[in-house]
Amino acid sequence: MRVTAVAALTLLFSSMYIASAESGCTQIQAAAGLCPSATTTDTDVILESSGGSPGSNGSNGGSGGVDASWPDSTGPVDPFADCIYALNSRCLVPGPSRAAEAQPITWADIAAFRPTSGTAAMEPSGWAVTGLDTNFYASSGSQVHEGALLGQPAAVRFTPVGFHWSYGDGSSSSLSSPGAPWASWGVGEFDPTPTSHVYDSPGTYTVTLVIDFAAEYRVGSLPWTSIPGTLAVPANPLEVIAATANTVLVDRECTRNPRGPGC
Amino acid sequence: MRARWMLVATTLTALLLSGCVPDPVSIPAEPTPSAAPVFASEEEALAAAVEAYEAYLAVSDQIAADGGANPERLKDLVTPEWYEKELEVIGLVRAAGIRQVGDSSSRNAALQQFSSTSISIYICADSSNTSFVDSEGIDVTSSSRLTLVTNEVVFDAHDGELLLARSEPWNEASLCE
Repeated sequence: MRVTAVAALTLLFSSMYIASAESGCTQIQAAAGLCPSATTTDTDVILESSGGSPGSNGSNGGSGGVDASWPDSTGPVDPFADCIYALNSRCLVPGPSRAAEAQPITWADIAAFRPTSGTAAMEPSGWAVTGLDTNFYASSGSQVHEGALLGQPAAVRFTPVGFHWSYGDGSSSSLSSPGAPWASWGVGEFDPTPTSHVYDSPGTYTVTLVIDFAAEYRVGSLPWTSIPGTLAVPANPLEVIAATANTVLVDRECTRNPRGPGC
Repeated sequence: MRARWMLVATTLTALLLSGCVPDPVSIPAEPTPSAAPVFASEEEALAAAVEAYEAYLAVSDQIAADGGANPERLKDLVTPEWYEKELEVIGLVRAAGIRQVGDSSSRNAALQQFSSTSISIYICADSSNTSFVDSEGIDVTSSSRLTLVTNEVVFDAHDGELLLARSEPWNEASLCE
């Protein structure tokens, strides 16, 4: 999946339905799979007139925060009137009567299609013992971005499916599960977990995590449908200071007994 | 109206099952209107409608292949009301940055009715040779679309010119093998 709003629209477009003021489908509509009566999924959805009905316009997640400026008028303006495609309360593709408003897709629009980054965490926090397992885990959940397509509520859902760790010591791993704290596994400190890593040499390492998100969309009352491909979103980096067990133990002992050996 | 559609469906079904579907099939029309029809015969009306539909498919293919550019190419082929509908879909194609590859085709047309102002046909529209790609050439074709669709197509006739007024999938029978 390419990280552009255009590509995201493409993938949404390729299987979404269009509600029309009148019945019937254009040839391009049918070829593109946008004709409700000419698809293989069960479509008993009654498509209503799209004239001005906004559908759901709650915003959820996403980091695009650009305000759209709606056209001035003497009365209250429905921002979703004649809006072909809206997401996160923003009309991205205005209809024919508002064609003058069409603007190039901006970075804010692109941001609106990206899932919010997950969080990388580690145990112990910020330090590691060489030769022992350091536990890394990610926290990230599904996110739903809601909007409307031609008067039908539309939504995109991002779910984390891959976790790519780079440990800063030249090694990396790609995992399919986020991992969890030792306590969740019911194991002790420095016990191996499916997502732990061993540092061989002392030093300071920067650990980076990139999470792959899978996307699904939904229109009206139709079920969630997968969009092929994944979106890679970096999470926060982690700084790790790795030291030998000796050093760590001595540090501990010296804290307890400053006049002990090696202090 | 409903009775006539049932007659059409029954007739088509009978013809298809009996294996003798001449190309094109002509279904008896309702009593002729008082004004002299522009088309002298059912065959002529059907042929004109098929030609108009093929032109509509060709121009639709071109616009979609150009990623939705210059949709006004359809203005001479469809009614103003239908053109608005085309613009909505084409607008999405353009915004999505996708384009069509390959051409549509049609076959097995059957006349429903005709008058001095209107021709209605049934026809199989075939999109199986088409696909959609994004700006990088990645295939984004919908996996849930039906590539063979029997459409009921209505043309408005003015001064011998036909403008597509409506095209709708028709589920009573199939003209696609």
